[in-house]
Amino acid sequence: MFWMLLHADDAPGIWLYRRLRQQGVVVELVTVEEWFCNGAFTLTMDETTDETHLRLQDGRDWNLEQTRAVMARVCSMPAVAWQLFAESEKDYVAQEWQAIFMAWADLMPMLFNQPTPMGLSGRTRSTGEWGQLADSVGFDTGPFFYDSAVGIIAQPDLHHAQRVDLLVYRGRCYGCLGNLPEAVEEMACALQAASGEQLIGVSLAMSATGFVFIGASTHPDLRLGGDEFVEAILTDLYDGTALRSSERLAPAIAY
Amino acid sequence: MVLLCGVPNDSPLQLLIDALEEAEYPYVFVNQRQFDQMAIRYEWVGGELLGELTIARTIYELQHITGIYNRGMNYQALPEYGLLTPNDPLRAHAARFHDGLFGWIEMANCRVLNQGYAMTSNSSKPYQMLQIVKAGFGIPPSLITNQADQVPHFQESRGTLIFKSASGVRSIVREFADEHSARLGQIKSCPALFQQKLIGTNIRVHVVGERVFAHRIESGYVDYRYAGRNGSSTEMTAYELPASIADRCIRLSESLNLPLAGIDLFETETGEYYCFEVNPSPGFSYFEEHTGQRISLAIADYLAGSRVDL
Repeated sequence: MFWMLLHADDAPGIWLYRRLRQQGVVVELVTVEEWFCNGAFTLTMDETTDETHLRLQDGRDWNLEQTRAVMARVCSMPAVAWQLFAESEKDYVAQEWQAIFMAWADLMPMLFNQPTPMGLSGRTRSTGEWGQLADSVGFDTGPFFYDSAVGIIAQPDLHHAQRVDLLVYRGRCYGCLGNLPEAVEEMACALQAASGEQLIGVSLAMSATGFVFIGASTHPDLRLGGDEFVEAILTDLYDGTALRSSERLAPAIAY
Repeated sequence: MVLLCGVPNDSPLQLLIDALEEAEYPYVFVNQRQFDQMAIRYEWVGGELLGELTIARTIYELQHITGIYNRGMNYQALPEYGLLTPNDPLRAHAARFHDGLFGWIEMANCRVLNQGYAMTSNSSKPYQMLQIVKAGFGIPPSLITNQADQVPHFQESRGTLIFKSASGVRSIVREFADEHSARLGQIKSCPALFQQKLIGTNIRVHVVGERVFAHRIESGYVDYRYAGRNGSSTEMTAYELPASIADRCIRLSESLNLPLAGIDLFETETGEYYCFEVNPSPGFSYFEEHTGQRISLAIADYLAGSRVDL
């Protein structure tokens, strides 16, 4: 079974869900709010076996052993899940659920962006950290400074420059690549590999001297990738090579 | 030059200052309580991160820092911050200074004990347990649930249980007793972590880079840190781990990106080693003071980028 775990307002995530459904893929959609307001949760672990069972309020069961792949885009904890708790308990309950979610998500065969201690669907990095990583793979990152007297991270003044947004998934760039030099695509792929994530968004600006890195994200707009990206997801879902499970499923549809 | 970040009444930090002075390693202490006298600025220059830290008009070049000991606390919990009026411009300064300082620590190209992103792994005990298993250690059979009826089943198959929080908050280990059974209904809204209680001895291991310090702990209480509070006592002695276990501890620390780690091991009566959790900001002073092992000096050596025979 394939699952998607999205915030209710994640329009790009819902776009991917719809495109996959239109291709005939049976995907169960669960909102992050539904996950945290679940009806029953159990996770058992020792050094040899892990099992988890989640029963959602609508009666659906989500078990590890029946899960072939998960596409999760969880940015933050939904406050709605503990709004009924006393003020003094809210933080505690939220931290407990976050701790539990991290372990649950780490067990799941995520197609992209595993949970990390610094981000529930991929590691969150500051502008400076992304810039440092981008610099290490060869991008021109432009001027950058931080000063506690003014408290700003200065970035290239490229407000009027043409912006290029890319989606990078497992070593390939998606988006309006146009005349993007091959070397820039390679750097974007190198950045995705260096980040340890399977899926990132990369933003560049065209300056007089070439492409300048201006940012990256582990929660990119998936729509940038268009159906080429959907096709790559389909391939990974049905090929099985990107999944932890060695079992290959027969394609539900030809595409 | 070694940079220390924290507050002065912190025991591990004080022991490290003593060790740095003993070894005559130069150091600078960023006393967060004096944030009003500090500033930081840095920039990328030719692929390098250069800048300076100012403390009471003395300027330190960031590129001369060989190592960082990060015991930084949330600046909003500092007493000096709490005394500021809501509109005091020092509030904004405290935020900008700490954002800059901690941001730089995450990017600094030197030895860091430890970087902030790696230190958050123990905010989830079950997540960390999964990483512990990947590193080759056993973990106690564990159950996390919000279903009260699951607990008696688990207890039946595992015997005596302990329970604790899954996050780092309110993290006190307690033995699960009859009195707790009556309150199991409360887990419906917030799950709890139950584990099989193992029989054996606690061993606390501190990893500093490639060096390992182990302490054997005999205690009459399930959570030895709170033995005194519960009418029991704790005895601690220096201990030599089997080489394979010591090596596994180093690999575990590496896998968690924690060159400094406090690892809670447990040796069962049959000689098996289990790992409970890894503390990314260990209060090593408690153990050093009881066993005489010079963890502080090892940390000083590591941060200074050198090593001396102890």
